[in-house]
Amino acid sequence: MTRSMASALLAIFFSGAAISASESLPSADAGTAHESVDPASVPDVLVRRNGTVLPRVSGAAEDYARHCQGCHGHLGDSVVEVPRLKGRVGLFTHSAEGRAYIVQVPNVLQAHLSDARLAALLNWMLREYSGAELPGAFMPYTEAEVALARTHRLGSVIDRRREVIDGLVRLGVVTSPELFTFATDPARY
Amino acid sequence: MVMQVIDKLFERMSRRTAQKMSRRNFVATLGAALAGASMLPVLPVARKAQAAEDPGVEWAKRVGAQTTDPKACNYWRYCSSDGYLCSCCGGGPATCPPGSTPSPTSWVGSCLNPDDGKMYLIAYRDCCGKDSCAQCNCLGTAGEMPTYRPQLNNDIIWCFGGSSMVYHCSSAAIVGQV
Repeated sequence: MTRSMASALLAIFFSGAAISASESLPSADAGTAHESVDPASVPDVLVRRNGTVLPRVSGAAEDYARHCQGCHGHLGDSVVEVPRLKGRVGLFTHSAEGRAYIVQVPNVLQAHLSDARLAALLNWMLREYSGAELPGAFMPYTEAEVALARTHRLGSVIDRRREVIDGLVRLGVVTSPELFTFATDPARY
Repeated sequence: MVMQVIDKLFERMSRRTAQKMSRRNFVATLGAALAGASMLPVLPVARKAQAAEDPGVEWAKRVGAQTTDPKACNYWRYCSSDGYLCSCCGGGPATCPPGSTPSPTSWVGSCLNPDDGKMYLIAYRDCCGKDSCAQCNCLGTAGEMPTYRPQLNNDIIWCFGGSSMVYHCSSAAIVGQV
């Protein structure tokens, strides 16, 4: 085999690998959680008896449900121990550090999701729970930005969180760090 | 350049075949190869690869999941439930028995409904604040992760954020259709 032929074959092999690794989603990747399922169509004794109406969940909304909802809640607002997303998380995207930080939070960084799916999940989550707090010229996360942010692991998450929030106060995005309080201690943000 | 090399290769192969084999033999071999290729998907290796796709589907088939009796371990929603069924403790698969309270946090998995063949998202939410119920102990492990991935593990007690960390029983609420 000649050298040029070998390199051509290698190029074909690696471009194929790159396509499969990106795991790009179908066009409807925004997902939906607003469609509902007719209880009569669900073969389950209790759903039918109680008339429980379930949402149909797909795409990024499904990834949120599987990876985040258990603790953050389906409304983006849960117990005091879990930082609230609703009406708040979008503020982090006003600074470069904040954009990186919400990717680097341990359970986001380590989620069993590809960079492309994680980007779609973050964009969906930000618009769903905190659309009003996003900057006017909000740039959605791309696969590349998520991949880059994921290469950096935070030392102390709590310390980094404070730095990022103090930065948002300095930028004038928020007037006080109290907005970001979580846990039962009002000094913790 | 590449085409020339491929051309040469095939020419050499077909000449060699023509010299070595009778025509009848060639047709027989080709026929056997085609028939053999169609058999490949039913070999156990291929079937195992398909079954490995979703642990919830595998569980439903293995236990013969059903949709009518929430007091049995093979009720379809329990594919990842580890513990005492709230249905056997005075509650239901999505309601806590009197005296216990639902944990505000849970982990979300998915199970196959055997009657419509669809996947549903299930929130595994413990009922807390009362001594262990100790009725109907079931162990489903579909999609479960080791304890170092606690957000998808069912060995730990899911009472975080509630007023009490005392475990009573396990509930399994449907939270959506996939």
